[in-house]
Amino acid sequence: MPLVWLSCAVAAVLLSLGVTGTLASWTQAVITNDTNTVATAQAVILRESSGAASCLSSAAASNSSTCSTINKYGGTATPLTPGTNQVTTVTFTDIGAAAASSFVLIPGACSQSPAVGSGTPAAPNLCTSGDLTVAISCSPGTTYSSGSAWTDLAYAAAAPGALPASLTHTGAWAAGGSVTCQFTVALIAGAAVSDQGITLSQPLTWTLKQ
Amino acid sequence: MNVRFAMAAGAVVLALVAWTGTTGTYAGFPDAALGNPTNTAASGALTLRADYQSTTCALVGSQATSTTCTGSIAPTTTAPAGVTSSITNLGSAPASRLTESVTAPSCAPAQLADAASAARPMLPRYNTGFRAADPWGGTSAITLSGGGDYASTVVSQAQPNPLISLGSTYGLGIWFKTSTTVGGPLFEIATNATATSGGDDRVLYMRANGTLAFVQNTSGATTSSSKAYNDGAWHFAYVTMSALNLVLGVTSSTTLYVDGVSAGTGGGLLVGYGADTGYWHLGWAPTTVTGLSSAYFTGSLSEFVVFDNAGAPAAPSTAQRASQAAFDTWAASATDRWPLGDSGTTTFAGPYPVIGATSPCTMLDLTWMFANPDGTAASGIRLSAFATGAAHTVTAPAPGVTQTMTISTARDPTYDAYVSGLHLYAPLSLTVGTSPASAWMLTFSWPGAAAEFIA
Repeated sequence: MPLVWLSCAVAAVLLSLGVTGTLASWTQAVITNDTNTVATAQAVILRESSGAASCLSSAAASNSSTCSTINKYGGTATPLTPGTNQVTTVTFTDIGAAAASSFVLIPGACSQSPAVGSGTPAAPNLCTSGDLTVAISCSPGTTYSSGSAWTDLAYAAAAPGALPASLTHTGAWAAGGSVTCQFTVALIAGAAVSDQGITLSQPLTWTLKQ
Repeated sequence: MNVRFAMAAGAVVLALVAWTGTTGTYAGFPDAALGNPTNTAASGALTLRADYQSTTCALVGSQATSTTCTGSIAPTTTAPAGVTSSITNLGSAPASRLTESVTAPSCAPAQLADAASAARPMLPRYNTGFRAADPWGGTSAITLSGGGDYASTVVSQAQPNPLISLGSTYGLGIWFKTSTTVGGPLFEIATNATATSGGDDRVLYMRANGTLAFVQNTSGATTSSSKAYNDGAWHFAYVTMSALNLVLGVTSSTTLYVDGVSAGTGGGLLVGYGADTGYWHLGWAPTTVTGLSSAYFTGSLSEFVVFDNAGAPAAPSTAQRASQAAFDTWAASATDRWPLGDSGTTTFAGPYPVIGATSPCTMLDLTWMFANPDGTAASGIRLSAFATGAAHTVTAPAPGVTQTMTISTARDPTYDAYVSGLHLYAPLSLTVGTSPASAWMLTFSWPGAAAEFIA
């Protein structure tokens, strides 16, 4: 008896479907794709930090940005007198996923105020005279170590106006890796008295290449 | 059929995208670049200004490293005295990189040189002024204010007595300029080196009415002029003394010349001269001798000459008084000659009357205090101990800060009345330099006679 009731129910369902047409015919094939993915390329992204200040190259869509909050020459708050210097340490980190193969420093033109030749006595050229020197040295890691300093991206104490057009370090730089550069700006002990009261400025551009 | 084709095409596209992305061939990201446009450094600048006694003295370090300031930062009145002045840092070099010090190279009393006998200078006192206009447009004169200023020699000299040098002539002369109406002494000799009476003789003074009088001995014998000379012009007074052995006895002869002309005569039978030993004084003589209301002279004096070698020349002619050179020739035989053209900065090292070899600079104590920032360069130490050339270091003011300093003097317990009013020349200087030391330094110095300490 129960089997009779079950057969009747199945027959009723099939009859219903046949009337509505759902199984009137096998006209569609359905496939579900649950793995549709895409990936962007891996990039190098440069972060520069000194103390509490930090800048990212990715701040601009072009991955090239301007960082005005880090003064690598130490600034003008404590003007130099003969025989004194100021040291600034900056750490660069590749926070991108890609490794880099080279790191390039391109110095801009050195300028000063007051202008060369102006005033009484005439202002000397502190960018080129050698009375004020800049030294640049970088080493791998988040702290500077002179013992492991690079030899290619380096500038021994000399006039800032004599910096080469570019300084390049070539070598693997793993993603997430850091390099720390130390800048020493000094006024030599024998600086001329006419060197007094001069402010010097020089832009620097850093490029991290894959 | 269309649906199936579309599904197949989509699958191919997805596969391509996935393949290219994961292998990097679609990696168009640029290199990472950061530009630092603000890399600056500055050299400091030293610029200072000293403000003292209504005077300003400034230095810009890029233009000069030292300057000579007029006047004085020290008290210019008799000890005890004090004066406050200031130093303002108008530069940019931080105080932590600056040093400040004060110094004086030496100390000794200023002198008025004896051009004929270097060992017998005079020492000026109180407000004696130097390098005043002289009769010929030069500056060989001193000024005396009448308020206690005078000068006296440091060596006691025996003056000859014409009565025992018969036939000899001795002379005393001086240029003077005054408009006084109370009179005053031009010169005298006395047994005391200070303004203390005793054995006063050979006193030439102006009376209140402008006439001149010469006391030729302590008994009061006087030779006078009848004409007044307090007209504000230069005049040369010259007194000659001689004696003749006449049949009736020794007769002295004194003549007072003014501007080459006899203005009065004195002496006579049995009127002698004193054979005095003592110190020449300029601008002072006791009122007990002159009868004046003041013991001090007001005006200018120049070229005090003494001929005590029995060969005094005749009074200088108009031509001999016409120029400094001509007068020099006339005065060439003087045994003592104080031109009085000293700057006030040449000094005498002793020995001195009364105190011997002891420096008068040991009898004045110096205190030199600084505030903002605080410092002590000297604290009641003897001026002689301070003025050794050693630098006395204090903390330099920061940029924009005015540092005050007070210099005061006091009499040392060893003070002797003999040194009262002496001009103690200890030229002060103040230097601000860099640390470490370099050519960058600014030095203010006060080397003039106006900066002397008055004992």
